[in-house]
Amino acid sequence: MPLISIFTHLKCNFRMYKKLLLCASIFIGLLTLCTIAAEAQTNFKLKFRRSAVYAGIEVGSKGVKLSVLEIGKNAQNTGTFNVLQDSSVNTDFITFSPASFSATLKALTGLYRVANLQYKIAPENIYTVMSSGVKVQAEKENKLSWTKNLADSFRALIREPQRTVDLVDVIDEARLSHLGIVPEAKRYSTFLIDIGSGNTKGGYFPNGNTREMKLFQLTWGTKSIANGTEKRMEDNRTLANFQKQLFRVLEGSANQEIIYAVNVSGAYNMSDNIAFSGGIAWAVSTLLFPELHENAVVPVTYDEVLKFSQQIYSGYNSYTPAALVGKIKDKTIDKLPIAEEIKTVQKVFDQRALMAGTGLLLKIMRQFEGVYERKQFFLVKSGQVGWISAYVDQHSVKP
Amino acid sequence: MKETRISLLLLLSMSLLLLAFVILFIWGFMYYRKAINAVPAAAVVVVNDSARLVERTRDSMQNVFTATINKINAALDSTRINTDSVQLTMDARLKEFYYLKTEIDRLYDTRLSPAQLAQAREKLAALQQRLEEWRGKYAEVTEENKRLSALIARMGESIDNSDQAVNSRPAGEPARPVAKAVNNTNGSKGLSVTDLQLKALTEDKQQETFQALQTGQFQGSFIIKANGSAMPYDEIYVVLQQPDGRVLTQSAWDSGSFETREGRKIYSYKLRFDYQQGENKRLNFSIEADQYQRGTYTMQVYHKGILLARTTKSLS
Repeated sequence: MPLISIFTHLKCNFRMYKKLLLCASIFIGLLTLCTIAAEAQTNFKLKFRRSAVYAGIEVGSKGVKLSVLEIGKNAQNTGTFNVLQDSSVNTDFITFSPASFSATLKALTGLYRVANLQYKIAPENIYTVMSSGVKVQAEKENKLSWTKNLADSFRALIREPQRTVDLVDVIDEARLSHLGIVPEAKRYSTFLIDIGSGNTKGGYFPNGNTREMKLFQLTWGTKSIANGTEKRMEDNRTLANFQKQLFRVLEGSANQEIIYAVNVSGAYNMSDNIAFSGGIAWAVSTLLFPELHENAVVPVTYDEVLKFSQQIYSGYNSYTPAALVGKIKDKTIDKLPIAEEIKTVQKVFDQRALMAGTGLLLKIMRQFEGVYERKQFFLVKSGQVGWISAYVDQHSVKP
Repeated sequence: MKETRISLLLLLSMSLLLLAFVILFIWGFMYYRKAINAVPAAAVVVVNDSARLVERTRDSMQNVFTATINKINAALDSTRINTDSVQLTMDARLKEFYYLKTEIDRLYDTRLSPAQLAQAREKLAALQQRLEEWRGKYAEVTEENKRLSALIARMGESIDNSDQAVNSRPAGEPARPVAKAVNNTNGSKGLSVTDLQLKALTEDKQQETFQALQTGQFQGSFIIKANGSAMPYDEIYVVLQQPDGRVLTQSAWDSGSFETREGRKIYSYKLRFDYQQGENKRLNFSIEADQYQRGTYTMQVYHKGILLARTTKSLS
């Protein structure tokens, strides 16, 4: 009843309230605009005072990956970037079927829109590439037209006909990773090795320029070492037997290939620093130095990794999140995200996978552990997104 | 006809007003959510009586605060009695402590929102951390003083000559609390550190500065001397602690962690060196950070996990 009477009263005095209603409408309009503006700001927690946020979308063999990075002003000098977001969609593009094409295009467009609309990253700060894995397979199967079609369809869908979608080759990928991860001061003295699940690849710049790169490749990765070990175990599935068979795999054909590849690369004489990236580098650095959780790179010695490999076999229980976090005495360090990261590592790598990966890491490190000359080893945690930093540096407009 | 138009316009206006209230409510909710998010992650508690909870939190915080104050006062008394050589550092720390105390008092005088409570909690944590640091430093100072006295007696000469270089300042620069070597200790296999220097330079790296806002780089150096044999491929760690207690690092490639008697410590810079017997070797380093806090920075030099020397530098 009172509502109706208010309504009737307003109706009768409409002219009188006209100005008031107009003001209310303007107020609502402003309020809405403010709400939209407030929501438009990204919620990323930035680490550096002078930095910018960039996104890289990579079409790989297995899927499409979006990485959002905060890149500091001196990224090229200090190798400082901060991974803000890392997400991927599995699409299996290299099967080159209509279904995988459509799924890849959908994922690529979707992730681009997420970066642009949700994270509010300007189109000029979003970089799109197709990985060397895609290029190699497309060339092998004579399907390069599929990559061109994908790029064209993507450009049409996002209505950006000028957008660059580079198809990078193996050497470009290695070069970009090296340039993005390794700081300028260590550029020509660092050998970067990426230990993947199925293979290991890397390289260094031997002649003081970034045009010439010496590549390094092994057919062994964390998973292939673990699979090779599992195959040898037969009926005895115990951890002790896994350790025994792992030793045999590492001492057998893997060792021969590693010695040969390192010798051929000539990296021993040309490098002071040996940096390892890939999943196992992230896992070992997280478990070995939890207090350096915020560091994208951690220095490590051969002895520290050796001790770690012995510990994960005989005392794996001492690597629980609670045990590791409990050892951190520094009260300025936030322990909660460290415990979460340790949990993630243990979800990705179980005890046997860790043993296999660490074994391979040690085998490669051993080739650089000289009596008269000591190399500095580094473990790189976010190596997979390093290319974006280099790509930004190469493609951004400089004043 | 006109009647219908007016009714429609009125309906539209009223729905717009309603929308305004909805937006205002959403804004309020967003503000509330942000305030909640600002509080560090903790166990989720169902709040039935928020006023009582706030009161209870205040009470428990008051207890922690009182206990901390009492502990600090006790520590202060004993520290004042037992220390003389570190008076300058103590004064700086005292100043920091009373500043924090005043801030917390001010927070208690006002009605606290959850965000302010979180702020108060942070301040209390900082206060407790200062106490812990103080305790640790007091123990270290006592121990190192003993060691230093023994060394002085043995060597029969003063080893501390670092103040001269450190206290020099550009003409016209007002007197400031500048870097002062606190200790030089021959604690690690006969290795001693002298002439410890820490300078803050402007962004163009041309001039020394005492202002945090003008600082673009820290530059440090010291001389090492070993009484024993040559040391090939040895390493020295430099820890540069910021006023908030966190270690200042330039790049992850230059920092890391190392073992000490007190557990693993993060270092700002690692210096690798080859040492020839009898050599007076000067080691230099520079650290460039993204930003610099105001307050006292502490530089520590470690060798094989043992603290060899320490100095401080204040930026205003």
